[in-house]
Amino acid sequence: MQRRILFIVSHAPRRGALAAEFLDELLIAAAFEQKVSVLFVGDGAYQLVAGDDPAAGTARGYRALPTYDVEDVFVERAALKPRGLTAARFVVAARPVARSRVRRLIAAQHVVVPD
Amino acid sequence: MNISIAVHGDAADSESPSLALRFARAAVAKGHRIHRVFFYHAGVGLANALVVQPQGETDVAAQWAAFAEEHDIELAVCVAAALRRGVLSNDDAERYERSGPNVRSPFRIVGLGQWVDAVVESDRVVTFTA
Repeated sequence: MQRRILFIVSHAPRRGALAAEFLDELLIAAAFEQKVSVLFVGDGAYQLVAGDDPAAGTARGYRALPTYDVEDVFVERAALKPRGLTAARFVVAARPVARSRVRRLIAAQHVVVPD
Repeated sequence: MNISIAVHGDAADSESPSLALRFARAAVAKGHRIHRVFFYHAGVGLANALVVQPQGETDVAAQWAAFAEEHDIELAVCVAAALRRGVLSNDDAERYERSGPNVRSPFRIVGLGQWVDAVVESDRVVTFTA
Protein backbone atom coordinates (compact mmCIF):
# COMPACT_ATOMS: atom_id res chain seq x y z
CA MET A 1 0.00 0.00 0.00
CA GLN A 2 1.23 3.46 -0.90
CA ARG A 3 1.63 5.82 2.05
CA ARG A 4 1.65 9.59 2.11
CA ILE A 5 4.86 10.54 3.88
CA LEU A 6 5.82 14.11 4.70
CA PHE A 7 9.46 14.83 5.43
CA ILE A 8 9.96 18.01 7.43
CA VAL A 9 13.35 19.68 7.20
CA SER A 10 13.80 22.11 10.08
CA HIS A 11 17.57 22.13 10.58
CA ALA A 12 20.27 23.97 8.66
CA PRO A 13 22.75 21.84 6.68
CA ARG A 14 26.25 21.06 7.98
CA ARG A 15 25.28 18.82 10.85
CA GLY A 16 27.67 16.10 9.84
CA ALA A 17 25.92 13.17 8.19
CA LEU A 18 22.48 14.02 9.55
CA ALA A 19 21.21 16.06 6.63
CA ALA A 20 22.55 13.57 4.08
CA GLU A 21 21.05 10.62 5.96
CA PHE A 22 17.70 12.38 6.09
CA LEU A 23 17.85 12.91 2.34
CA ASP A 24 18.72 9.21 1.87
CA GLU A 25 15.66 8.24 3.86
CA LEU A 26 13.48 10.51 1.75
CA LEU A 27 14.87 9.26 -1.57
CA ILE A 28 14.53 5.60 -0.51
CA ALA A 29 10.88 6.18 0.37
CA ALA A 30 10.36 7.79 -3.04
CA ALA A 31 12.25 4.99 -4.79
CA PHE A 32 9.95 2.47 -3.06
CA GLU A 33 7.04 4.32 -4.66
CA GLN A 34 5.63 6.02 -1.60
CA LYS A 35 3.85 9.36 -2.00
CA VAL A 36 6.56 11.64 -0.68
CA SER A 37 6.21 15.34 0.13
CA VAL A 38 8.85 17.63 1.61
CA LEU A 39 8.38 20.71 3.72
CA PHE A 40 11.21 23.08 4.64
CA VAL A 41 10.61 25.13 7.77
CA GLY A 42 12.76 27.59 9.71
CA ASP A 43 16.50 27.08 9.21
CA GLY A 44 15.67 24.03 7.09
CA ALA A 45 15.07 26.46 4.22
CA TYR A 46 18.85 26.92 3.99
CA GLN A 47 19.05 23.38 2.62
CA LEU A 48 17.32 24.60 -0.52
CA VAL A 49 20.23 26.87 -1.36
CA ALA A 50 23.48 25.62 -2.87
CA GLY A 51 26.44 27.02 -0.95
CA ASP A 52 29.94 27.87 -2.17
CA ASP A 53 31.21 24.36 -1.55
CA PRO A 54 29.28 21.89 -3.68
CA ALA A 55 30.51 18.96 -1.58
CA ALA A 56 28.94 20.41 1.56
CA GLY A 57 25.24 20.51 2.27
CA THR A 58 22.41 18.65 0.69
CA ALA A 59 21.09 21.19 -1.80
CA ARG A 60 22.54 19.19 -4.68
CA GLY A 61 20.68 16.13 -3.44
CA TYR A 62 17.38 17.98 -3.20
CA ARG A 63 17.89 19.04 -6.81
CA ALA A 64 17.23 15.39 -7.68
CA LEU A 65 13.71 15.38 -6.24
CA PRO A 66 11.90 15.66 -9.59
CA THR A 67 13.90 12.66 -10.84
CA TYR A 68 12.32 10.65 -8.03
CA ASP A 69 8.86 11.99 -8.90
CA VAL A 70 8.78 14.06 -5.73
CA GLU A 71 6.88 17.14 -6.82
CA ASP A 72 5.17 18.24 -3.63
CA VAL A 73 7.92 20.45 -2.26
CA PHE A 74 6.92 23.22 0.12
CA VAL A 75 8.71 25.90 2.08
CA GLU A 76 7.21 27.80 4.96
CA ARG A 77 6.73 31.34 3.69
CA ALA A 78 7.66 32.91 7.03
CA ALA A 79 11.08 31.20 6.88
CA LEU A 80 12.19 33.15 3.81
CA LYS A 81 12.37 36.85 4.55
CA PRO A 82 14.17 36.75 7.93
CA ARG A 83 16.89 34.63 6.28
CA GLY A 84 17.19 36.69 3.13
CA LEU A 85 16.12 33.74 1.01
CA THR A 86 14.18 33.96 -2.21
CA ALA A 87 12.62 31.13 -4.18
CA ALA A 88 14.74 32.15 -7.18
CA ARG A 89 17.87 30.84 -5.42
CA PHE A 90 16.42 27.43 -4.62
CA VAL A 91 17.82 24.34 -6.30
CA VAL A 92 14.35 22.86 -6.69
CA ALA A 93 10.96 24.46 -7.13
CA ALA A 94 9.42 24.85 -3.66
CA ARG A 95 6.00 26.36 -3.13
CA PRO A 96 5.87 28.91 -0.30
CA VAL A 97 3.06 28.05 2.09
CA ALA A 98 1.53 29.83 5.07
CA ARG A 99 1.61 28.36 8.58
CA SER A 100 -2.11 27.61 8.44
CA ARG A 101 -1.53 25.53 5.32
CA VAL A 102 1.23 23.56 7.09
CA ARG A 103 -1.27 22.25 9.61
CA ARG A 104 -3.52 20.94 6.83
CA LEU A 105 -0.55 19.48 5.00
CA ILE A 106 0.47 17.46 8.08
CA ALA A 107 -3.10 16.35 8.74
CA ALA A 108 -3.28 14.85 5.24
CA GLN A 109 -0.34 12.45 5.78
CA HIS A 110 -0.06 8.87 6.96
CA VAL A 111 3.40 9.47 8.36
CA VAL A 112 5.42 12.58 9.21
CA VAL A 113 9.21 12.28 9.47
CA PRO A 114 11.10 15.09 11.24
CA ASP A 115 14.81 15.67 10.72
CA MET B 1 -2.73 -1.10 16.36
CA ASN B 2 0.48 -1.92 14.52
CA ILE B 3 3.15 0.62 15.47
CA SER B 4 6.70 1.20 14.27
CA ILE B 5 9.16 3.43 16.07
CA ALA B 6 12.17 5.36 14.78
CA VAL B 7 14.97 6.22 17.23
CA HIS B 8 17.28 9.00 16.02
CA GLY B 9 19.41 9.74 19.07
CA ASP B 10 22.10 7.88 20.99
CA ALA B 11 21.69 7.21 24.70
CA ALA B 12 24.89 9.13 25.51
CA ASP B 13 23.65 12.46 24.13
CA SER B 14 19.89 12.23 23.87
CA GLU B 15 16.67 11.24 25.60
CA SER B 16 15.42 9.77 22.34
CA PRO B 17 16.09 6.07 23.13
CA SER B 18 14.66 6.22 26.65
CA LEU B 19 11.57 8.20 25.61
CA ALA B 20 11.01 5.77 22.75
CA LEU B 21 11.29 2.83 25.15
CA ARG B 22 8.76 4.35 27.54
CA PHE B 23 6.42 4.89 24.61
CA ALA B 24 6.92 1.31 23.40
CA ARG B 25 6.23 -0.13 26.86
CA ALA B 26 3.06 1.94 27.17
CA ALA B 27 1.92 0.87 23.70
CA VAL B 28 2.48 -2.83 24.45
CA ALA B 29 0.74 -2.46 27.82
CA LYS B 30 -2.29 -1.07 25.96
CA GLY B 31 -2.37 -4.13 23.70
CA HIS B 32 -0.73 -2.60 20.62
CA ARG B 33 1.88 -4.42 18.58
CA ILE B 34 5.31 -2.98 17.84
CA HIS B 35 6.06 -4.00 14.29
CA ARG B 36 9.65 -2.77 14.17
CA VAL B 37 11.98 -0.35 15.91
CA PHE B 38 14.29 1.35 13.47
CA PHE B 39 17.52 2.88 14.75
CA TYR B 40 18.81 5.62 12.49
CA HIS B 41 21.30 8.52 12.63
CA ALA B 42 23.09 8.48 16.03
CA GLY B 43 20.43 6.03 17.27
CA VAL B 44 22.55 3.20 15.83
CA GLY B 45 24.84 3.71 18.86
CA LEU B 46 22.35 1.70 20.94
CA ALA B 47 23.47 -1.38 19.03
CA ASN B 48 27.15 -0.89 19.87
CA ALA B 49 28.15 -3.78 22.15
CA LEU B 50 31.40 -2.03 23.12
CA VAL B 51 29.68 0.79 25.01
CA VAL B 52 30.30 0.64 28.76
CA GLN B 53 27.82 2.41 31.05
CA PRO B 54 29.20 3.94 34.25
CA GLN B 55 27.95 2.08 37.32
CA GLY B 56 24.66 3.37 38.59
CA GLU B 57 23.59 4.83 35.24
CA THR B 58 20.70 3.36 33.35
CA ASP B 59 21.75 1.12 30.47
CA VAL B 60 19.04 2.01 27.97
CA ALA B 61 20.49 -0.28 25.30
CA ALA B 62 20.27 -3.26 27.69
CA GLN B 63 16.70 -2.26 28.53
CA TRP B 64 15.81 -2.12 24.85
CA ALA B 65 17.40 -5.53 24.29
CA ALA B 66 15.50 -7.10 27.20
CA PHE B 67 12.22 -5.48 26.17
CA ALA B 68 12.61 -6.66 22.58
CA GLU B 69 13.38 -10.23 23.63
CA GLU B 70 10.49 -10.34 26.05
CA HIS B 71 7.96 -9.17 23.46
CA ASP B 72 9.60 -10.53 20.33
CA ILE B 73 10.14 -7.09 18.80
CA GLU B 74 12.53 -6.50 15.92
CA LEU B 75 15.33 -4.00 16.60
CA ALA B 76 16.53 -2.91 13.17
CA VAL B 77 19.66 -0.82 12.68
CA CYS B 78 20.38 1.03 9.44
CA VAL B 79 23.55 -0.36 7.88
CA ALA B 80 24.75 2.89 6.29
CA ALA B 81 24.32 4.87 9.51
CA ALA B 82 25.92 2.03 11.51
CA LEU B 83 29.01 1.75 9.29
CA ARG B 84 29.58 5.48 9.57
CA ARG B 85 29.49 5.23 13.37
CA GLY B 86 31.45 2.02 13.81
CA VAL B 87 28.70 -0.51 14.51
CA LEU B 88 29.50 -3.59 12.47
CA SER B 89 27.87 -6.95 11.81
CA ASN B 90 29.95 -10.07 11.19
CA ASP B 91 29.67 -9.61 7.45
CA ASP B 92 30.59 -5.93 7.59
CA ALA B 93 33.62 -6.59 9.81
CA GLU B 94 34.89 -9.11 7.27
CA ARG B 95 34.06 -7.04 4.22
CA TYR B 96 35.76 -3.90 5.54
CA GLU B 97 38.56 -5.81 7.31
CA ARG B 98 37.90 -4.51 10.80
CA SER B 99 39.03 -6.27 13.99
CA GLY B 100 35.62 -7.75 14.66
CA PRO B 101 31.87 -7.30 14.79
CA ASN B 102 30.37 -5.26 17.63
CA VAL B 103 26.63 -5.31 17.08
CA ARG B 104 24.77 -6.26 20.19
CA SER B 105 22.12 -8.98 20.16
CA PRO B 106 19.19 -8.84 19.40
CA PHE B 107 19.83 -5.69 17.29
CA ARG B 108 20.03 -6.52 13.61
CA ILE B 109 21.78 -4.58 10.84
CA VAL B 110 19.41 -3.99 7.91
CA GLY B 111 19.00 -1.74 4.89
CA LEU B 112 17.05 1.50 4.82
CA GLY B 113 14.42 -0.29 2.75
CA GLN B 114 13.33 -1.99 5.99
CA TRP B 115 12.30 1.39 7.28
CA VAL B 116 10.07 1.97 4.24
CA ASP B 117 8.67 -1.53 4.75
CA ALA B 118 7.86 -0.62 8.37
CA VAL B 119 6.07 2.52 7.19
CA VAL B 120 4.00 0.52 4.74
CA GLU B 121 3.15 -2.25 7.23
CA SER B 122 2.32 -0.05 10.23
CA ASP B 123 -0.77 1.91 11.21
CA ARG B 124 1.43 4.48 12.95
CA VAL B 125 5.10 5.44 12.78
CA VAL B 126 6.45 7.49 15.66
CA THR B 127 9.86 9.16 15.43
CA PHE B 128 11.95 10.14 18.44
CA THR B 129 14.44 12.72 17.19
CA ALA B 130 17.77 13.33 18.88
